Amino acid sequence: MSLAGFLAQLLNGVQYGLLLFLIASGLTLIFGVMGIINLAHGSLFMVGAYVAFLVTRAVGSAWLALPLALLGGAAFGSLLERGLFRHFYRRDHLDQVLLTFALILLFEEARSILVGNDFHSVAVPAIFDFSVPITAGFSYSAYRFVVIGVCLALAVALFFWIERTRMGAIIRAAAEKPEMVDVIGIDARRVHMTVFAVGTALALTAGALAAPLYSVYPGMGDGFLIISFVVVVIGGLGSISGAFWGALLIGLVDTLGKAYVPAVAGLAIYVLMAAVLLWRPTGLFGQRG
Amino acid sequence: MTGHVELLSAADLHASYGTSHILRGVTIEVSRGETVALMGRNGMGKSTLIRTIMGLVPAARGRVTLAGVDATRLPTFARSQLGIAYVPEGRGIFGTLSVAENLDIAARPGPDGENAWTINRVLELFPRLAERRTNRGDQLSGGEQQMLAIARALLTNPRLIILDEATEGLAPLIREEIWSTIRLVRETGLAALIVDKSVSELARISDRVVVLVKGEVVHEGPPATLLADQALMHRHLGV
Repeated sequence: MSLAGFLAQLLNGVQYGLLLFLIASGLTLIFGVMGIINLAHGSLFMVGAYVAFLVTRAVGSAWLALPLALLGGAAFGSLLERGLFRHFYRRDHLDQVLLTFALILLFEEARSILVGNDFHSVAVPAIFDFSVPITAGFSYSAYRFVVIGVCLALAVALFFWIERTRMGAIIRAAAEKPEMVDVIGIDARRVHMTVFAVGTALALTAGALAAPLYSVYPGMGDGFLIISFVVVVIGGLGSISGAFWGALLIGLVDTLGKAYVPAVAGLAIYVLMAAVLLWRPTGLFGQRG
Repeated sequence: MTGHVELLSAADLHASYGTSHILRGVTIEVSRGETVALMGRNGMGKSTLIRTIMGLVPAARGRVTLAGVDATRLPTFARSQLGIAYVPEGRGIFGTLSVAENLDIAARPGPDGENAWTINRVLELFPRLAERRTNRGDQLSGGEQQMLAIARALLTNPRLIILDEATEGLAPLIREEIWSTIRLVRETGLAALIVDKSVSELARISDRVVVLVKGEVVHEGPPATLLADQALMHRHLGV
């Protein structure tokens, strides 16, 4: 295959990986701080994609869907945390699995009632519906560049927030010793709600960004959820840096694999996961011991 | 009890871990500016009493009053905000955070808005922490971690500080440093409830001692009375 073709696949891999990071970072953050594995996180991604679809149908462009997914996602995440998840942190893992599995069914049912069960394509926002010439024989989708840019900007903002702000330090403290956060007088419930709101906002935003690339369809969150779990496990449970590098790795391996060795591509990321776990059982950035 | 202003008052506290009944009706008080030593052998309920006072272990029966507020049903963070700082056994510092972050997230004005303890002031009290500001908590020595835990507690500008085994596992020189810090802090008028293995140090520093045996208070009074009573010391403290 040509160099231009390889470049295009490389960019596709980076774009896919960064999208996975938006999903996986919320998943790993929520697990790291609250100890809950949110199986419905993929459904939140789906909600974001359908928001983009509905916004496009209503106003003709998916552009407005982005701020709506981000802000609406934060509000929706706060509500979910307040109304449901908060009551499950101290419960058994089985109860948590049942809750989040039930949410998948509820979200799918709601989607079916509100929008139906058909596949829908979502148009790329008109202003980005063109190709950027890179070399003489190769140009690349402007919208995919936008997706890469938005994901990178959100990743930088997330890193800054977690690593450089007081709230970020409190979140890291809560992930390490939740009890001591309360002991120094910080209301852990507010920390939990904030983390859940941010995780949900990122998942919805990922969905809204993905809709023009992958269309919207029933159960579309499931595949992304499973791959995001692979990302989280490879990166190390609870690690944002791990989620970032894990997502890029999976995005590239999956995309390049499908392009060059399609016969085994479906297996490649799971083999990679097994190999990483054999080498480092707690993942690339996981805390050991 | 005229003239006393009670900061901490636990009345008839009962608490259990699983099926074992650890506290059996403990009543204990700490007044403003007072230093109380909580003594007893291992497993007699000292840490459980403190954790119940902080709301980390639910009270099965009884009442906890902090700074005049009924705190029996309050969550832990609200008890802290009433001016009760707690340095747990094992120190409880955040190992993945830098020293500066450990201090920063705890710093706040006290319940009456007082701001006597600032980050600069605790760093003056513990110059070694100033040198290690950018280090992660888990890179500190045991003594430095203990200093960090005490510094962090002071930064909440509390009315009462509870120290559980603050000198445990430390070298004698570091121990002495921690004790002199505690004396210094005590002189600022901060009330303290202290658990420690060293009976002699506790007796020297405290206004009153309370001895716990199997979840009940068996002796209470000035340290001199306890020290004079060899039989009591031997029976309840093993010294």
